[in-house]
Amino acid sequence: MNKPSLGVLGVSLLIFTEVMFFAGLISAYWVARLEAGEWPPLGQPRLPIASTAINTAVLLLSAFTMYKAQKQRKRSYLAITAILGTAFLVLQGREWVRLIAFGLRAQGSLYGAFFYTIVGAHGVHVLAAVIALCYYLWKFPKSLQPLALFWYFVVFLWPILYIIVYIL
Amino acid sequence: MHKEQQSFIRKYIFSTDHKVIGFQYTIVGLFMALVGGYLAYVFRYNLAFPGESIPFFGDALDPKTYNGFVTYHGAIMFFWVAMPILLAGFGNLLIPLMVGTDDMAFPTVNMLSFWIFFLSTVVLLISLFLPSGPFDGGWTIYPPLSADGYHVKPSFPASIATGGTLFLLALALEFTSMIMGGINFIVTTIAKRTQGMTLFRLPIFVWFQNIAALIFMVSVGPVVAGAVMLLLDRTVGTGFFDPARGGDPILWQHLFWFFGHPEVYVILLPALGIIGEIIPTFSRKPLFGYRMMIYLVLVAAFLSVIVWAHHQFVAGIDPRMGTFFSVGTILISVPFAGVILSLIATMFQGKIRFTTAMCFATGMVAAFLVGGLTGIFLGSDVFDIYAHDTYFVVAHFHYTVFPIAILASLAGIYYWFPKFTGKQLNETLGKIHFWLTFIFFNLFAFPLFFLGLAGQHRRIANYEVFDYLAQEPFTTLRVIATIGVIGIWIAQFVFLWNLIKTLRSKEVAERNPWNATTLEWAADSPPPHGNWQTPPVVYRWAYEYSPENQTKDFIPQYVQE
Amino acid sequence: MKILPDRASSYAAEVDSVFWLILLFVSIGFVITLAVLLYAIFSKRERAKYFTGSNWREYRWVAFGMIGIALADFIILGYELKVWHKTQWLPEETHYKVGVLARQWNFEYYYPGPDGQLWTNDDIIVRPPQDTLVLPLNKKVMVELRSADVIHALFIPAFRFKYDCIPGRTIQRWFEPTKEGIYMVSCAELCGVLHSRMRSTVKVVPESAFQAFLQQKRMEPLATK
Repeated sequence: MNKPSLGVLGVSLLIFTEVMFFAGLISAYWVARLEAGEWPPLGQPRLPIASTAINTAVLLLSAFTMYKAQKQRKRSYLAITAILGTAFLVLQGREWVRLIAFGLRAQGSLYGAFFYTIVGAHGVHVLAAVIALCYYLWKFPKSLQPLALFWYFVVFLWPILYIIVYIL
Repeated sequence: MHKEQQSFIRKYIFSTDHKVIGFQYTIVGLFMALVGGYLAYVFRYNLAFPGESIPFFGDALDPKTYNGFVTYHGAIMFFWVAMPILLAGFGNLLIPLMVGTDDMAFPTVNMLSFWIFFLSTVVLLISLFLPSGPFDGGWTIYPPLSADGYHVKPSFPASIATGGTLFLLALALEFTSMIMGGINFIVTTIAKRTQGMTLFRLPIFVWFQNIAALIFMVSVGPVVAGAVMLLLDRTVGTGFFDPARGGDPILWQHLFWFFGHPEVYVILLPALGIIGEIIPTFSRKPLFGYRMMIYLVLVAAFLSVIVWAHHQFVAGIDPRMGTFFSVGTILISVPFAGVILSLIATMFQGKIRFTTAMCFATGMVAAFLVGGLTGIFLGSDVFDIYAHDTYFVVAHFHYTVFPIAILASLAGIYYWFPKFTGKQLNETLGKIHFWLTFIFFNLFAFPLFFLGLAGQHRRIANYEVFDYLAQEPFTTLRVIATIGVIGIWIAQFVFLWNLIKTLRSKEVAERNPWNATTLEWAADSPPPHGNWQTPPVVYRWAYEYSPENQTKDFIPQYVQE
Repeated sequence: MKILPDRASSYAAEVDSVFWLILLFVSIGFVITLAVLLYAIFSKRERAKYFTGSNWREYRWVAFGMIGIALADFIILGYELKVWHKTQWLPEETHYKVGVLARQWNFEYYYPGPDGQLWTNDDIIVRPPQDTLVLPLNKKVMVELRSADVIHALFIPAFRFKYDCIPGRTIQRWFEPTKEGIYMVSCAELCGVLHSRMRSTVKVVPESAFQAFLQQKRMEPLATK
């Protein structure tokens, strides 16, 4: 009998719950935005679309290296993935510092509040995924599939958030 | 000696055994039921005899403490009693046994989920005893009231140690724990069933637990998002729900009720699952319409996630939306009518034996019938405008939640007690316990309908300023309801005595004292770590009672014929 | 003892009729189901009869029950949605406008001033210690509900009227008082420490007396100055 792997099933359900979490955040964001009319509100700094595009590319690349790691079962690819994930976090953090310097505050307007909450929630997920990656790097278990699944979720969620929050 | 100490901790405290974890959840849940029940007693006494000092408590409640107690009573009974006992407690104890496996799919995650839950309980209890007072914004936590903690708004680090922030934190932890539990249930059911256990041979309890876990996972995400936003509002000072900064308090209501309504089904389904196991056993009959029941519950589960705004008819929502939500809500009565009628049909022409468990199960069905039918009044948007936030609502949801959280839990405890402790609870005391609980519950909850219809609104410490409500017969009705609550308390002492008496006795229960068919009865009582010497094999569905052309009146799932 | 309190608005009787209609169906459903439950209990025998409800012949009885409740649902909905339409949509013509501003922990009432607009500087305001909302008899009144701080709800049981007062938005509904008298008003949404004491009254008077009241209120600020 070909029973599905426990880990894959568990991670799929976890991802399902996470999708509902982000769906809640995004719909809240969308409602607030439609009610606000002017978006982004006057006098608020614009988000750095271009430099975040580089971050996005870095993260998408990590999905590719994760795929390689899974296919070839190589620790090195896993390590590269972890480095790319960390790089993404560092770049995001640097952007936050700059945005705060430009005066985008979570307290001031909903624009800032939603930006920091949504992007921050994603960042926390990337951080969790990187920590899980390090654990896998250390143990290197037989199946990388559960981790890879979660990693793909975290990576492919980002472009969606990027489009919704930065571009639209 | 030292080694044994270690093993004690591994065995009973940080255990990965699903049965120990199930016990831990149930015990914390029962303890919290005492806390929630005590709060109910205190504020009910205050309502019956306003301004008088309260025995076993102290002075009359001031409005702030009253609001706090009502808030915690609701939250505790939902999230720290019904959820841990029905979903996590019974689910952990029974699912692995019923599907015939040694443990949950992820035992370590399971252990972690309990300890996160335990932490949430501790955080909640701390928030109840803060010097600045407990959180008093209602269990639905509506902002802006809940967002700024009444004008006094401490700045960042200090704002964490306020009642409301800890309350939200406790909720978030509780949700996390239940998500982990739910994942475990579903994965265990999908991937760890024993040989021969097909999906449609699963006991109805396992089905309902899994559907409940699924509904929970669909609906919990948005409310966690909302809780994060509200926590940020309270601590770092964002303005998600603050209209002055473009926020919207109604947004919280949508996020909360998208979860809040399905949540009722999350605790209802395990309860119905318990009832669905007990009624066939004591009627010696197959469960009526087993497959249909599963389909009906799936329909109801789907409807439950699209009717949330029936809690917001009075919040000025678009009247067309009101129409949609009213239709959806009232139509939920159809699938549940099917489920309840099927349970009754299961008893029809059976060889019924009224054990204590069966009494509680039948009582649950009868009481839940009142709760379900009165839901139609509130589903009607026209009448809900009048009844919203009155005691009619309070009576309605006590007629649903009390049968679910108390009657069904007790039914389950009486039924599975021999399996998990090896001892059988005393039946005479059990029946006294049942009748006292059932009668006093009705004495408590039924008068509330009349109070609500008279226009008595909720969450009021003292009705003296509302002249119409401060007169007869409403004062007497409030006293009657309070007598009911005290009676329910007295009944639980009978239960406590029964527990102590049984646990101290030397009598050993049989392996399968009720002659039931499901797999858990094949294991030792109590089942050892790992459950089975050899994994059981399943040959048939779960309800082969009184088959025709047979002398025996039941054939268990694990017996080859 | 009256089950539902006195009625004093034009649609109160219809709201009550929805209640009685549902009560009728629910009582029938309850009695039948309970009778079936008792019958099932007393139909017990020495050896249980084996049937599983997996075919139509056995299941139809439950199906009939579901069809029955579905029919009752549709009758209820058909009737109550008509009443819903009447209570929710503003009538074509309303005679007066009243604003309600809730704050912790009382209601303030606003009548339009000379400009005929609500929420402007010339509004006639009733605020504590006065707490009576005076209304004209047999006139359609449009009510605008607002809140200054947290969510409250204006509940007038005699009018079968209850809507939230929500900060940041205005809710428009209507009623038509049809009986002179003084009625209780309460706040039906938990709004903080003194929610328990948040109350007010409605006083319905003939239109002439209402006009006189407005006239008198208009003079009041001059008198105090």
